[in-house]
Amino acid sequence: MIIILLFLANLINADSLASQKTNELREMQLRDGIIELNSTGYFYYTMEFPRPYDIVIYFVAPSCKLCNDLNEHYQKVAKFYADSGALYKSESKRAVFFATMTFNDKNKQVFEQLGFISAPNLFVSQPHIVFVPQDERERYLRDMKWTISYTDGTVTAHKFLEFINKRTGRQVDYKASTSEALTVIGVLLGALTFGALVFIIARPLFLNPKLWFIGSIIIFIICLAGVVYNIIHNVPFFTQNNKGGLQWKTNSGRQQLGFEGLFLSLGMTFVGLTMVLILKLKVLVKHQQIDPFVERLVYLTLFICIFLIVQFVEENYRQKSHYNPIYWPPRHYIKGPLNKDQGNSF
Amino acid sequence: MSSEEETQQSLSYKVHKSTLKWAPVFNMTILLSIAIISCLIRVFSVIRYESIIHEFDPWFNYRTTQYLVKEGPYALWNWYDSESWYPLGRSVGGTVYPGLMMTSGMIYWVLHKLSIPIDIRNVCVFLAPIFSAFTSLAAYGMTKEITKRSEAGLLSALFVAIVPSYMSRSVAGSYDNEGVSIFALVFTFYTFLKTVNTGSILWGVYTALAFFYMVASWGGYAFIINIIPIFVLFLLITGRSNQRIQVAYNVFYILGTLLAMQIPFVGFQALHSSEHMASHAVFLLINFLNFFSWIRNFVSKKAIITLTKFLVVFLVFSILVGVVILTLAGKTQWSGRSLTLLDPTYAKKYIPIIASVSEHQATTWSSFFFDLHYLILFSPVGLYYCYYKPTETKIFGALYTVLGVYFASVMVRLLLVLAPAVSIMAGIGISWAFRKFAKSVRSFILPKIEKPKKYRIPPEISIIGLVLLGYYCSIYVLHANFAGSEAYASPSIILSSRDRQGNRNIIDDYREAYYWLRMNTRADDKIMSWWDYGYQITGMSNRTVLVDNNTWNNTHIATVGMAMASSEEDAFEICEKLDVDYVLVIFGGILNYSGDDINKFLWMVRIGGGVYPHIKEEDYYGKGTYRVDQYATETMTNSLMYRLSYYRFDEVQTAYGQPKGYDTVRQAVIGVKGYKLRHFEEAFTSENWIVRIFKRKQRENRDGVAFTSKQTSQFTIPKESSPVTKFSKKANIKQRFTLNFNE
Repeated sequence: MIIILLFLANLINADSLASQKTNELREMQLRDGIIELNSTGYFYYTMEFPRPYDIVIYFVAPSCKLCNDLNEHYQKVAKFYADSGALYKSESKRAVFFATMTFNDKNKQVFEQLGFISAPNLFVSQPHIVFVPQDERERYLRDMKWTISYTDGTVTAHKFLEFINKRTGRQVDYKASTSEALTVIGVLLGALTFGALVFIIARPLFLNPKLWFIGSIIIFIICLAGVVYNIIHNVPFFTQNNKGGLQWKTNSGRQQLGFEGLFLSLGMTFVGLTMVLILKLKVLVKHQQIDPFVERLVYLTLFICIFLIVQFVEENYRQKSHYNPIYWPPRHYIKGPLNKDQGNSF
Repeated sequence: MSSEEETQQSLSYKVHKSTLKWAPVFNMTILLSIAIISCLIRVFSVIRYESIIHEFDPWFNYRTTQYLVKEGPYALWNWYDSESWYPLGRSVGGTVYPGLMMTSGMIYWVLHKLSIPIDIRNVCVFLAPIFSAFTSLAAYGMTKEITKRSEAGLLSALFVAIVPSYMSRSVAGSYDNEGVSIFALVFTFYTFLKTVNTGSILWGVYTALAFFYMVASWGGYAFIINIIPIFVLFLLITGRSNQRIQVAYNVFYILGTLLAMQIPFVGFQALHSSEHMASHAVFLLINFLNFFSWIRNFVSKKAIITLTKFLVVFLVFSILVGVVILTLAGKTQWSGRSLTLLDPTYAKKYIPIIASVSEHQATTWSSFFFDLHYLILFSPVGLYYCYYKPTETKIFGALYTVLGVYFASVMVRLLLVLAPAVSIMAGIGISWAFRKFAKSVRSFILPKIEKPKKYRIPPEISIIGLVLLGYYCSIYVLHANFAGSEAYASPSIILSSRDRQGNRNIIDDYREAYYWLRMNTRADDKIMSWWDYGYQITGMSNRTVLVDNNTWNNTHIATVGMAMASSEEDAFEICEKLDVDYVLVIFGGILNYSGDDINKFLWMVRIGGGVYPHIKEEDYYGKGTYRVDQYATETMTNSLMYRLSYYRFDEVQTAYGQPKGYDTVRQAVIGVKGYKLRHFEEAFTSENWIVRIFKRKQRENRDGVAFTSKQTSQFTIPKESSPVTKFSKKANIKQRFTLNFNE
């Protein structure tokens, strides 16, 4: 009987301690936005039972630039969670709190225990961490922590949310704040109005097919230059070669430099434009009387121009990759001897 | 004029006259030859290798087609494939574009009804070349709708028939969606332009049907459903819209959307996905404007102005209120997805699974040049011609080209969509130039027929021009010939190399290994490999794989990536969880085959790290670069991929003058030698080591359980009868364990 009573008392006691700890954390988060933990706080709130809640902890180090940059996102995520009611436990999910710890001599131990050797780190601490046996601890922790570094690319609030959602089992979505949303809408509306205004003012210009042609050619040149490639791969315009000189092209077939793309794109488009010029030359100069000899000379020059540009483009391509337009398949490609060209079943 | 000159002149007039008479015949003959050529140039792959399905995705299409032919279309609809994405499986019927399979199924059934017993594989292999012939015919029709000129059509048909970009996806054996859907794309445009030119509802229906075929066969239909609304919007803005456009668009939109919804994979996406939004908006706009102009007939001018003002204010206001309400209610999501629309580079920067695929890379100038060759040089001429005296169809052609160039620059794979546009533009441009030059030559020879005009180019210059353009056209043909017979003919599952004597050696490691799997493993064994080889393993070995080229579940792929990137112990745990029996790696270190798994490994790390953040890319960089030699990091050399790829590699000498264990791809001697595997054992290595298959061992006994216990040592085996009969079926497993002890 006494044992049962003791057990019950203990249970009630544990229950009250649990709710007390939860309330304390909730109050702190509501007050500060994000809970500042020191090492005592860490052990008390995460390693001592009962703890019927999850704590997300963001481990940072002083004078760490990346930590500071990401802090803003972390606060956003904490706010999304708080807004979605994650500070209170629901039927199947525990409450989630957001904390941060800054590295110093006193809490060094915590960092060491969790195996952090760099900052920032994100860690989702769940109640069963207390029970994980020592030999499985490392594997368990590995799934719960995220050491953020430059190879993670641009880390955003979305990525934080994805990481935390997966571990807390909640589905908290990114929500733009009102001001953010209004800015986007404002920019969009502004752009639309501006576009409409420009269109109304310069309507005759827009209806002119010549302008369409010019616009198309500009798009053509930009796209042919592989500008998207340059942006994605952060390609420089020029580089330096081994001898320290200026290098404007690469010899690799899959890569290019900024200037190389633009220059060759201009060249390729120029061939077409020169052809147009040849076909339209007479119409362009219809009011002038031109000496027939000069006229033919101009034409010839334009043709030579086309020829040289094509040569130039081909030459540049040949340096990058195999190119052999004067090619004819050898005889056995056309009609192969069955025994020599293996695997021929046609 | 002397009599001799006169007869000469009359002869040339006669020739001219009879040529004109026979022109339609020439026209058709040339077109037919182009169609035949477009077929033949794609058969090089069969002549040089064999009649086999190429690459990766075609293997899935082939397997699905086999299933379709065997089980029938309804079974395909309900097919739940348990051989892929183990343990999840894949509902194939609902996640596939069935157009390609249905087409070859039809051909197969028709031929069999005609008592021609063709193998389904041959139907699949030769489907793309046959459809490319149709494509060239459709391109002829489309160009003719744009310019009303047959010669432009013929040149375009020739260009599109052999354009390398299109050929890369449609050589014999390349049994992929693009093979039929490029035809569907061009044919849809042809019928649409026909509708625009005629205003006929019937042709509108044809457009919708062609569009339906396109939706059924390729996800690229999104291009059509966007470019046509953009075209209509452009005409509306520039005030060139008319009744024919309205008929064409309305019939296309209503029927096309309804038909698109019939494909299970598209379904209601046709209504609410962002790709279709433009089509809905333009449909509303065009009908609203139509309605407005109809009202105009009944209402006074003053009232119209008031009405317009009211409508504009009302529209702006309602949009504003709507957007604000939606935003405040949190219904609009300014998430990563909307960013992808605004910024084409977003997905590639932040979603590694998209970035890892080579055909999703952004395009450099050299890809443009190799895949489209001189067409890209001469398409500005066609563009100019289209803008010079614009009609609706010419505007469409130009818009298609400009949008196509933009999309192609974002993704290499979309060069395919651009290829017909550029072919048509170059065809129009070059034929225009040919015409101008020819006219000037004609007016010199036949002044009576072709009156000399003021703006003619001088005839001798015209001849130079003709020769130059003819030269460029023939170089283009030769280049296409090269691309068809050399560059794009390789099936990629059969490799070939040349030795010093110039003899060709066929390297057939893939099929050797897949055949080994088929013959030497149990039917329900699960094979783990990187997702590239998933379709091939299910197709050729008929074994279950964890991930394949469908890549619909990023987490699952990341798990496989994590297994490959983890140490042998950790990988063993993961493999056991996933029921993996064999691990297959591709290794090119002996044969200098650079497309192997070690080179793809960084992507596995990245994709794995995207989901499991404890995998850090920098852990695999030794001294700042990705390397396999002695400076490689411990994480790298301990990873399963490294261990399996280089297992026993230090026993062979691969290059002259290099020590054993020299990797010819990475050009370095491997960092770890003479190690043993603990949880995996080598099961098979192909002739040139390209494919290596490892078997996962059973879990080892826990240390000390079996032999430290005193009871165990005193354990006696029952004497009478064999233990198998004595134990129940359940106990069989136990018994297996005891046997393991004894081993």
